[in-house]
Parts: sequence; structure tokens; C-alpha cells
Amino acid sequence: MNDRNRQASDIAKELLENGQVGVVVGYCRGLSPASASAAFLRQPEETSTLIVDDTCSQNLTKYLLALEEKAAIFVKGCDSRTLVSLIQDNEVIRDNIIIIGIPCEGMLDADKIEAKLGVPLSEIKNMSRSGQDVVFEVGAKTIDIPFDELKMDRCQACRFPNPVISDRSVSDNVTPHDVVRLAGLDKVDSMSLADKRLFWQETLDKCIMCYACRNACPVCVCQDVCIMQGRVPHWSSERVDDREKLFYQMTRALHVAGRCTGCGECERACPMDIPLNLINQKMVEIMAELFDYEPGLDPQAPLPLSTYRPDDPEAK
Amino acid sequence: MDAKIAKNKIDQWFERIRNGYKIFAPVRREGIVRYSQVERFDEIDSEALATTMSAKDVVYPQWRAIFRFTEADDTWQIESIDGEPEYRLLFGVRPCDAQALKVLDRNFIREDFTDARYEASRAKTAIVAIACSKPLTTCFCSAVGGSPVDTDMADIVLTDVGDSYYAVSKTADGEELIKMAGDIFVDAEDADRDEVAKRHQECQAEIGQRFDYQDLAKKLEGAFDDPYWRHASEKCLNCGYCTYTCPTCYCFNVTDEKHPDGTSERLASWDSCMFYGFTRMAGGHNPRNERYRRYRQRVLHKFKYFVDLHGFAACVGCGRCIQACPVEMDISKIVEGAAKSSEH
Repeated sequence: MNDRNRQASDIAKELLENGQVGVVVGYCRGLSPASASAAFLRQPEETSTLIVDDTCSQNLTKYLLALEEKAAIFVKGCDSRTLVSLIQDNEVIRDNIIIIGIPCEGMLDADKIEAKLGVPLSEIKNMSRSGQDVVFEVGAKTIDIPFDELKMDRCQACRFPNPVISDRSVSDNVTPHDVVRLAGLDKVDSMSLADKRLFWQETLDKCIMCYACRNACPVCVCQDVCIMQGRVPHWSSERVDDREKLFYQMTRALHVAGRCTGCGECERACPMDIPLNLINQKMVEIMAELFDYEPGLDPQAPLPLSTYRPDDPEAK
Repeated sequence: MDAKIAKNKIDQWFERIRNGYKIFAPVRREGIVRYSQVERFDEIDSEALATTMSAKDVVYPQWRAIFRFTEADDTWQIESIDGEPEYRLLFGVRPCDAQALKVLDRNFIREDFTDARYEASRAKTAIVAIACSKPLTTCFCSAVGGSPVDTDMADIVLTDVGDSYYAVSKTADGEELIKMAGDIFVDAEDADRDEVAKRHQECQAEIGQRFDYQDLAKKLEGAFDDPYWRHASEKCLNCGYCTYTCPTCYCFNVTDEKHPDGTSERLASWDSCMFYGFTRMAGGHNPRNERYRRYRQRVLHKFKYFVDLHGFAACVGCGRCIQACPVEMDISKIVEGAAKSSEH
């Protein structure tokens, strides 16, 4: 059993046994050897199913909004920053959670795996690591692919691999690597405004307004009173066309700005493979530029878009 | 009748058909497979299983205007949306996708009320299904009364036999489609039929039968009050994608919208039982305000209520919802778990 799995189980078991928490929110093996699923564990003996590896890409912090019991939650670097945003927003009370950190060296991208193997994840019989390679067994074939080719784009651009807030940890911190800007941002930045509009119109053509992005997003806290569901007033049409898609995506981007840390859960959840994180990551850069603010680092910091500052650089 | 068509002759067949029908087939673009209009066979991903979106929106669009209206003095002037639906050929659906139309038909074409637009659209849609040769691990059509290799809801069922398709007509329309193609189709021989039978058998053996839906429906009798649902649905995000990709989900919203130019429209658009507002009533009361109630509804509707009312399941076992779910909810495992839990 891998070290981090054991650490995770031990910590979780301890917390449940001594009643410090009512539930542990973590990862267990998913429907495929190449995926992980969210697990809600309430009995100490269930904790042996916990895993910590490079399939654990989901951001679990969203679930804290619905839990009433005191909870322990596993967070990677990116997830921990979302957690900070939720604490700043008073959506999560710091004293009600125990944070178990996962220092992270990058997660596997399910879409990249499926593209390379030509089969859905469900058809993978086995997956293992061999040095820098990931080894897949599909049918009678064994296929080796370098981990770097399968790493999520957001992980290539990760600036905070170690959780910024935690009570316990499953391993020692990792050494941050050289950072590259999120793939695709340079290209979109270099476009004229007219070309940008065309780019987004084409990219969002695939969007079916299923709202998976909104529901997966941990800082979309409006949930049941979301503007897109309102009827009086009825801000958005039931039509599913270019105008409504742009309205929805732009509105969501602006509503989460300042609290969104670019965790990329929206993009991960999108069934149509739309590169939504381009929008969010750009917003993070804009927040730094306009407000000198990095989302998700300091639970005590006031949120820039909901705080009046007399020394606001924009105030005249 | 049966016949055979070489794959390199399908374009000729399409050419004959195109005068009368718009052809819709699975097209792979940037990793996503959706039903789009095609002209040639090489545009089609004929191997795709559990396509990203089902063929549902070809007969039942995601949104449409039912009628338009304008306020004039003290009255409403109503303008119906005219236009005959066009003839369409759905090529390359799987048997499960074709079976799904049985559920949609049951909802929209009824003794007490028929959705005229749906009925007209359906009547002008021909279906050419392709039998499966190898199921995905998430497929379970056989558990819900279906088959991976045959369906009565298609006009023609094709089976891949290498460089050709073996074709069986299931309806008079199907027979007509084959006959009008003349010598593009050739006679099938016994060797072909044997090959087809062998492939079908292999596929059926591989998919097995996970459960029996009628047996399951009986076991779900006491499932509503079972505490099973809270934990089973805990990781669901209620995002709604399962209902959108599902070929049998048919619930819709009706909304009136006014435009800046003064005209208004009544729209019908896909709704989802996963959305919070699905059962929210005027006044604010919502009998399904909690997530587990909504997930329970989805499962019991498909595997219990629909079976009780209509004799078959409102699920065709295509597994799209399982493939697509961002948090890996597996409806086939969950419904089995519910049946087991409520048995005691």
C-alpha cells in the first residue's frame, strides 16, 4: 500500500475514532483504475478505501457547502486556495473543518488519457507507474505514455503545489517546479478584440448550457438562487444560442472573480471539453493587475470586489 | 428482407437518399461526438459508442418556439410557427439509441394528448441503426429489455462484417430505403448470415445481463423511504448533464419571453429533474429541495414508476450518464444498490 494512502487512512481513522469529525471527505478508487471518486466516510473501518494519487483531480471543497457535520477534507494545493476563498466568504467556518493537505506534483487529465488511448477511461483494465511513464492495460495491449504528456494543463501552470492552509498532511511538501503560463492564454491574449469574440463564439458553440461548470465550481455559492434560474426577473432566455451562452459564461466569470483561484474544476466537469479555465485564469491575472490581489491565500483578507477601500486605486 | 452493402458504396447510397432526406450521423470533432448533418460516410465516426450527446435533439430539439404573440390593444395576436419538419435519416445510432425513441414516443404521442410537432418530426425520421460488436463496460442495454444487436425501433439494422454492412429491414420504410438504392445493395449470402450470427452472439455474451428490470422494479417497491438515497447520492453535483445526454429524458420547461421589439414567444426547452427549480412552485415551496430527493426521483422514475405505468423502463442502458458524469455517479450500480437495500 502506497505511503500516502496509508497516511490518509491513518489520519482519517484517527479523526473519526476520537470523534473530532463526523465525516471525512476524500478520494477512493473510481469506476476505472485511472479515476478517483469522492468518498464520504463516516465509519473508521471505511477509511481503508482512501487513496491519494495522481487520479485525484476533483476539487472536493464544494461538498462542504452541503455538510452539516464537522468534516475533515482532503485538499491539494489548488483546492486549499478555493477553501480559503470559501472561508473568506463565510461559506465554510474554519473551526468546523479539519484540513488534510496533499502536496501535489500534478494530476492526470482524463480527456488526454482518453484521446491517447482511443477508449473511454472505463475500458482501462489496469494502470500503473513505471518511472516517468504511466502504463495502461487496455484489452490485450499495454501502452506506456510519459506522465508529462497526460498532466492537466492547469497543473503545468500550477504556482501553489503545496496546500496554503492545512491541519495535517499526507506527505512532506513538494518542491515547486518552474511555472509556465496556462496553455492557450498567450494565444488568446494576442488576439484582437474582434478575433477574441469570434474565438469565444466558436469555442462556446459546443456549450449546451447544462450548468455542470456552475455546479462543479466550489465558489459558485448562489446554488439554488443562481441568476440563470431566476424567473422574476427573468434575466436569461431559455434559448440556447450564441448570445445566451456568452451572457452566461461572462456573467459567471465576473460573479466568481476575486474568489475564483483558477482551480479548473469547471473545465474538468465540462462534458464538451470547453477550455473554460482560460477565462478564469485570465481573471486571476486581472485581479493581480487591478487589485494587487491573489485569490485564496489569506483567510483574513477582505475580498477585493466586495470591500470598499478608501485607497482603492480606481477611486478618484 | 436482408441485403449487403460495401462500406465504399455507402456514399452512393447517401447520394440517392440526400434528395429526400437530410442525413444525421455521429461526427467526432475535437474529442466530442455529436449527431450532425453529413454528406459523406467518411465524416462519420461509425465506431463511436455512448456518443457525447445522444441523437435525441434531432427529433426533440433543446429549445424551440411553440408560437409567437404580440399585444395589440386589449388582445393578444397569436402567430403559430409554421413549417413542415423535413425528412431526416438518422444513420449510425446504436440499438439502445433507437430503443430510446420508444420512451420519447410514449411521452409525446398519447391517447389523451399528442405533441403535433414531435409527431410530425418523428414520422419523417428514418432510422438506420448499427449493431454493436463490443460493448463498453458501462453498457447495460440487456438489463433493461434491450439488445446490443437488434431493435424494432429502427427501419434498418446494419451489422459490420468487415468491409461491408449486412442489412436487415425492420419496417416497410426500411425495405423501401434498401430497394430504392438498387444495385448499391447486393444479396446477402448464408456465409454473411452465419458471420452476423456469430458476431451477435459474441457481443451478447460479452454484455451478459447485469439485472432484470422487471425484477428490479418489484424490489424497488419500498425504496422511496429507504435512507439509502442520502449516502448514495452524496457526491452528485445535480449539474444536470446526465439528463441532457440521456436519450430518453424528455422533461421540458415552458416559458414566455418578451423581446425588446415588443413581440413575445412561448418557448419549450429541456428541463432537468436534477435542477433545484424542477419542482419549485409559485409561492416558493419545493418538495424536492434536497439533492437526494432529486436523485431518488431520477432513478425511481426510470426504473420503477415508468415500468409500473407503461411496462418498460425509461432507461435504455446506453451508459452515457455514467461515462459523462463529472463525479462518476453510476446509475446502474445505484439502482441495484437501492433494490438490494429496500429488499430488507
